[in-house]
Amino acid sequence: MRVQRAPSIVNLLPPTPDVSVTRRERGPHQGWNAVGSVGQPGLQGNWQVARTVSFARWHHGFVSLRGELRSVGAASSDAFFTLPAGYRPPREHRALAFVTTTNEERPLIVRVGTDGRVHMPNITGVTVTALPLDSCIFAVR
Amino acid sequence: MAEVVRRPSLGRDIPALDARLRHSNILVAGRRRGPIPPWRQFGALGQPALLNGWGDRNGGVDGVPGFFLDERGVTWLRGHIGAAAPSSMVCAVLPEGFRPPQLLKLPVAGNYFDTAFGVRSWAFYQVLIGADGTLTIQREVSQVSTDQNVWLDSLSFAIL
Repeated sequence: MRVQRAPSIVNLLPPTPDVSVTRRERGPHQGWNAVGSVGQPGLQGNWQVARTVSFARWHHGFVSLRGELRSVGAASSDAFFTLPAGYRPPREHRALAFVTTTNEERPLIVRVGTDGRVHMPNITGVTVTALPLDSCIFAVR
Repeated sequence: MAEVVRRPSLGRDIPALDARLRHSNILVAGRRRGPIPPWRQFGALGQPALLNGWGDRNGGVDGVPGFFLDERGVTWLRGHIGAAAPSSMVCAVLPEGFRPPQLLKLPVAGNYFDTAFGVRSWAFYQVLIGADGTLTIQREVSQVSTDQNVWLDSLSFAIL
């Protein structure tokens, strides 16, 4: 028999954020850094920005990437870009990404090396139309 | 004679537990940061509904779909949603304050019933989370299928 539960008081609250603490710790430590902008790392090989690619470090010791790349013609084996020191993982990080090529859509692994290289070694030879980096989040310590 | 197993008394241990929590900074941190924000359930009173035929199809057995915003400015999603024959792949709209500043595409796990082969198959799905709060489901394969299920538990993103 299914028990009908009374609505929780929690769910009666208006759907607005109710976080009122440590505002200085909210959001990225020094804002988002756009790849290819002045003073930031540039794209390598034949990779191109499809949706602004940026990276940020958070107060609690994490780095996250966001944005989307595509290749001009067949994807090269070059790294997409290289993260600066302070934004690199202590060991290679692998994140799942949902990649679209001219032939198919499939999940592949984006790698972020300890040297800061962000790359996907097994995608060469096909034209990539969408490679989102939004799922790349890793600890830097 | 059957062995009697006694439960430890919680009341007796509270002062010691309190001291341990203070020592480990958990209690102090809890007071400094205030209460943990609550999870909000899709479809509950006052919360956004699941749309276009998407819903919590198993009565929460596979995880009640919901979301919350933590004190760092990160929105987290969880739970299972499914649809027998969705009229659109837009499944929900997050309210203001819980949305990313720009479009995000994040991978999630799911399954569907492949009508061509008559079997249930696991697949990777992608969830598009728009700056307008729209949650859109995309699948890696394009075969005709019905009865789709997606788990949202791996979704989290910054709102700043």
